[in-house]
Amino acid sequence: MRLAVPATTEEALAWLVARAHETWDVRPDTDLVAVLTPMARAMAALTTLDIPERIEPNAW
Amino acid sequence: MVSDLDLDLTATEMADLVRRKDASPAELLERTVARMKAHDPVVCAWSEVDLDHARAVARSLTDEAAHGRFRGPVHGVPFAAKDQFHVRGMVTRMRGADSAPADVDATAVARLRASGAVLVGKTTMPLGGRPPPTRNPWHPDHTPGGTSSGSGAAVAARMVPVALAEQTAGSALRPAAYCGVAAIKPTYGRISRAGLEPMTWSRDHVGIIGLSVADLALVLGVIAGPDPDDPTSLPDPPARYLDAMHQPRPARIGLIGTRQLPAEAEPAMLDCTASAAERLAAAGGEVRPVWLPDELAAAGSIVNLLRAEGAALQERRRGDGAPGSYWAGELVPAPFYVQARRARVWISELVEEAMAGLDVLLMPAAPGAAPRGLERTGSAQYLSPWSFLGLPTATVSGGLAPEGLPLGLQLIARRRDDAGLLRAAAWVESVLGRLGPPPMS
Repeated sequence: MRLAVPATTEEALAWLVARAHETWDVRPDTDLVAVLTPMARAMAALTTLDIPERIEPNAW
Repeated sequence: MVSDLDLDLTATEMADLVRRKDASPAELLERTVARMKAHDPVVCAWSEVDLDHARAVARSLTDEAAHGRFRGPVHGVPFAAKDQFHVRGMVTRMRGADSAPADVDATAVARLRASGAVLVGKTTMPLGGRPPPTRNPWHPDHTPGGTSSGSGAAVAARMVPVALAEQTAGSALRPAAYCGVAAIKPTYGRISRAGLEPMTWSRDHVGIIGLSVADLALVLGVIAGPDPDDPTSLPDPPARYLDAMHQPRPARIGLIGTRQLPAEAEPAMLDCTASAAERLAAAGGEVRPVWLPDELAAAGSIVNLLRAEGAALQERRRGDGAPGSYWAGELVPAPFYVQARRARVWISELVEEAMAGLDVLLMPAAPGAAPRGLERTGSAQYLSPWSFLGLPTATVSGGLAPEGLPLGLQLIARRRDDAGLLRAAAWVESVLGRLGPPPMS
């Protein structure tokens, strides 16, 4: 999969944290790393899969 | 009159008693009320109860039964519904404690009522990020699991024999496993979600918690089937799930190896699973190790990208405050969300290929028994991938851990093979046995 976002967990986390600050007025006591790390891991995991072209998202 | 000696009556047994006129719906309801009065001050399983209405319904059902009229296979059976289901005239607390009472019943609730079951009330669940005060009937210092906390505890405490639950990650099977009872999360779409307050549309499942696998089959037979109010409901006509209970046969079981589990299981849980596999093989089952596709490991992580759905849902529930885990779903890039859905389709195919020649897969339902404390409801790691994939799963008891808390086993079947899942689960239950009532009784 080739997407215009970082592919490793660390890169994805940094990307998500930056997006969070752009999107919200994040309170200082918010642990963004804790909140966003599962999603960053998910993005990294997804980039490791070689999903066949025939697979459609709604065929489920 | 049904006596205290009948403490462990299942829903199936209750329905038979009513049909034979050996017990009346009114008597069965008063038995439930007595259990609630005795144990709910500690267990705290209920968020709302309407006994006046339940008694009025039970009286009508008693009159009908006396004249030989039965509305359906669950005539007179008391049941509960998690406070995520809409119930006419009651507030759906997941929607908001100050929300208006629902106008109509959720489809699952309506179908049970139309078939003669008696709704006693609604059961607790975590709300606002806080767990309910519900306690595990096996030990009040331990969580009953969640998020169908009250449904699991109410069934385990023998207040009701069956309860409606919901599972997005592990919310139906986990409380059943922690509380020593049975549960099914059928194939996605098998039971209508109409009237179920959503968490994540594409992985929310109506679940059933019951005292026995036969109870699960009984209720599934009543509430499964297509529903015009839920466009994702499967078109398959309702199957005769109870028939599978009458034809138990040794199952072909794929044992998922320890190294494939998504987190380290506790020694007691590993012993329980190994012992169950040995007993099932000794009873004539074909039990063999199965190696699942490596891609399945990614499913447990990829599921987090479906938080995009949660974010869309939370938009209307939003209040002031910092972005939480659901709001974080707003950041999921759209292509990743689409790819996560494609991954779900593909990984499901790979798992079903790995199940060739097998009826079900077997693994623990959780890393161990219910953790101590009520602040957290335990781990969904062993359950969540299957919810993501929409495959049918069930839990049956594996026995007790050394500290006296239940250990739950999980069975997984192919998409749409809910009848095969129940048949295998019934056979496994017949070999391993059900747990009796907890010591509180």
